[in-house]
Amino acid sequence: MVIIRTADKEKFTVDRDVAECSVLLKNLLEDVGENEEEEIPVQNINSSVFRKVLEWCEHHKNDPRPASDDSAAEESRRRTTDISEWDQKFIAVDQEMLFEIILAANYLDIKPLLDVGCKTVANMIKGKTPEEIRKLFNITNDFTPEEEAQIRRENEWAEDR
Amino acid sequence: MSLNDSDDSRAQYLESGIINVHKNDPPSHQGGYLSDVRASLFGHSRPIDKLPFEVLAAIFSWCCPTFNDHYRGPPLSPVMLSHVCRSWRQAALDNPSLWTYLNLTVAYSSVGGMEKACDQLRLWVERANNCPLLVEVEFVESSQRWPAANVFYDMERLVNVALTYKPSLFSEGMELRAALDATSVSPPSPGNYPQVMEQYTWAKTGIRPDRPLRGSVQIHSNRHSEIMFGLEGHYTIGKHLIHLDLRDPGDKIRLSVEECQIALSDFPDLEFCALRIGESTDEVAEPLVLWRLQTLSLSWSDRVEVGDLLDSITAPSLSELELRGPLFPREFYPGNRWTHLPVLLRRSSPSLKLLTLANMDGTTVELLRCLALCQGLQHLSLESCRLDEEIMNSIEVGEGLTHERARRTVLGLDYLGLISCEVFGLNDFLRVSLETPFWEEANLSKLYIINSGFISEDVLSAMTRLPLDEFETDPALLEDLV
Repeated sequence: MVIIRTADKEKFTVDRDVAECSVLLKNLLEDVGENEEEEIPVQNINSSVFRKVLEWCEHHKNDPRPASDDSAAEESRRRTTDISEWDQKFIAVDQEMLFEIILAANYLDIKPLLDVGCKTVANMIKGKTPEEIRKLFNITNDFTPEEEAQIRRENEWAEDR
Repeated sequence: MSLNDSDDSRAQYLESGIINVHKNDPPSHQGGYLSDVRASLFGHSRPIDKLPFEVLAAIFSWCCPTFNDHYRGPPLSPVMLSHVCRSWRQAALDNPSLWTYLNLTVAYSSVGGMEKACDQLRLWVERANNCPLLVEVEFVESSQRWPAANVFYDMERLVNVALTYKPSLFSEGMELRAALDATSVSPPSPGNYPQVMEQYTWAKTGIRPDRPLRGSVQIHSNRHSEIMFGLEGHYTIGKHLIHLDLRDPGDKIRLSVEECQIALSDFPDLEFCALRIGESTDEVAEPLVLWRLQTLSLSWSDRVEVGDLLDSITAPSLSELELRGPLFPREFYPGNRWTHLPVLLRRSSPSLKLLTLANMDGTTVELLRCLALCQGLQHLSLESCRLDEEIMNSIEVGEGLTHERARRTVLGLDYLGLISCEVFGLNDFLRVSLETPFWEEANLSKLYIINSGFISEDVLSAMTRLPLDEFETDPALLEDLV
């Protein structure tokens, strides 16, 4: 077991194999050695998000982990666009939490979880017009008039499809 | 600009926002700046703003079709992403891997449809940078165009756009290659002309489409067009046509001998040519040298004479030849010879590996002389042919120079198929061959003798013990073989 302290000072006691889903934590644990008393801080993640991440790690702790130099496995991971049923339910959260999970996966270096998050956002985006995307994520149209003119020209292609 | 930059950058962003508000931005843009100013002062108001650039790029990569995953997202995804806001545009434009697949539509019905397609291609070529780019072009026809018109010139124009904006491709030795293939199109409905599939490819030869080279561009297009008046609508493809197969499933495309001659002279770089001929002609055929032709398949109807056409062809690279059709005049008269096949083979024999003849009399076509000319032949298939006593004796004994050479060719074959043939003394030939060193000398690994005469039980039994990979006599295989 290892102890992990989140940004809001909450402590989590976690199975080592669950924690090792994160490449960052795995490397930190290697530095710490067998000292189970030492707390590992994760400063960019608060407890509510970390709890969610742990839930994912717990479920996926036995998944095969690709070696960093395994380019074939990396390519296969990149090409599979489907999200498993369990992951879909797991990631069915509000936008705020979704982006927090993505940020946490990125910080903790959990590539499969980062993929789940990115694919989920991508699925929200796919097939939408720029205006619909802006509305979805509350993004402001900040193009200059010159940029707008260029965008209008580019949109003419879409009209021919 | 991302809002999680340093304070200094943030200050610059606010300053440029204020300047724009004062200058000439419409009110809709001012609202955007004010919103960003608020976000900048009070922290991130939008969750998506917290994502670092590389994560945004990863999300984008799951939205966009790529050279090896065309269905990952809708065709114009990178353009749509680049139209959301300035930071997304920057992220999309700075990420060449998003621009590796383009499904390009050329709408002939739209004003300036070709110009728009060229603009779009230019954008992808520039933005893909050093990533491989795969372009699939879809030509949407208009009622104004002739239904048999091809799109070769427009494909050539797209290739020129790619070369203009990526001059490094000049050194790649890429060819624009075209194919016309009618074998997989649906039979035409009554009143319509038969269709042909036009395929165009501009790519470096020998490179797998799913393993493209860095910085490479490939352009492909498949479309249907109609075949009318021979190949009149397709002659502009010229030396770029590599593959021509007009054996349509509905058996509607039948060219005249003259149309075949025109086709072969207009497409001098053909590597594969398969035609059905439905009409003779009195025109004298001009000599043709088809340097790259490797496969020639001609089939013809009753009372069609193709001899002059064969006489006109020189094909030094020919390796596969298939001739299917009754000889004209159809009946065999003793002493009457159809010498066109040996004349063609004499010019092409060194490389011929496969010969298929159907509906022919072996003596009339001078089969022994033909075999003597094809010393490298590996595959001989005879369907509905007649092999007389002289031919069978020569294969068995091989007396005389021509016959000995013909026998050596037969012994060197890897595949021999006699399908629905009329073979003189087949059973006796096989029986004698089993008692001589014939099968020890033969290189044969596949032998099919189907529906070609009586074979007694004892001969059949002995034949099955020969060290052949395949030996078949079952008439049920007829449908698969013919």
